[in-house]
Amino acid sequence: MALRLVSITASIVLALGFGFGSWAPAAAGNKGAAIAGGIIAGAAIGAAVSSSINQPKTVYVPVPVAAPPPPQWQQVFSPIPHMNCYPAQRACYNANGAYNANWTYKIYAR
Amino acid sequence: MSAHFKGLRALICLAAAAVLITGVTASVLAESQADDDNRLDEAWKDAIGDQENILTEKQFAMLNNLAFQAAVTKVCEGFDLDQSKFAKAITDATTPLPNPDMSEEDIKVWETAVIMRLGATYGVLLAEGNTRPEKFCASAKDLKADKDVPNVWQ
Repeated sequence: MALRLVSITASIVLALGFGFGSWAPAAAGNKGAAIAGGIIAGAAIGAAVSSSINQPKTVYVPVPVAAPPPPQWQQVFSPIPHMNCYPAQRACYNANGAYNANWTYKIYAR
Repeated sequence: MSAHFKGLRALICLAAAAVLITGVTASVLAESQADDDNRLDEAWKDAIGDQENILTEKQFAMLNNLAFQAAVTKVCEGFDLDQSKFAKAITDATTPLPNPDMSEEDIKVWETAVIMRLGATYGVLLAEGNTRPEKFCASAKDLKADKDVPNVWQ
């Protein structure tokens, strides 16, 4: 409520400011139009200030940090589909299967 | 206790059992559907995870294959080591020394470390083979059939 009052006051001040600012150089016939224009412009700016005050604060979401690489012992790669090779052990395994001497030799011992 | 309450309690027990069975089945299915393997990850880590690089990558791999073939002779039917091939392969896998200027004392320590590594590898592979012998022995047959990869079986 206090913020709304401030914004309304600001819009009136602005309106008067615009009105007097344009009143001095204006001809007598244009005085009313200048005041009306000032009120409209001031109201618009006041509304903008009011709406910006009521906006929720910006929430800064931390940038997701890339997951650290797995420990060396858990690192694994697949030279072909369905083959897991473990650099720390220098050994390959069939996916869903046993130690694979063929690929252990091809990858690490040849 | 009323018959109605007894019936309700039995129903609750059945429902709990069903939930438990469903949960166990789901976890087993999830495990079997994963693209995992039969590697005893924690056993490997405990056995050799903190060992220093006493061998080259190639030598470690050769030693792994020798330990595997030795374990196969214990787990699978129809596989026997050729002792002379095995002895030569061990020599090949541990040559050259990591440092040609090693003292006699250092060489003894290094040889002990190599033997311990071979023994640990052999032990964990024995455990893997006895856990899933069908797949372990199928893999051994694949090795025997591959003429491009040396083996030390008869």
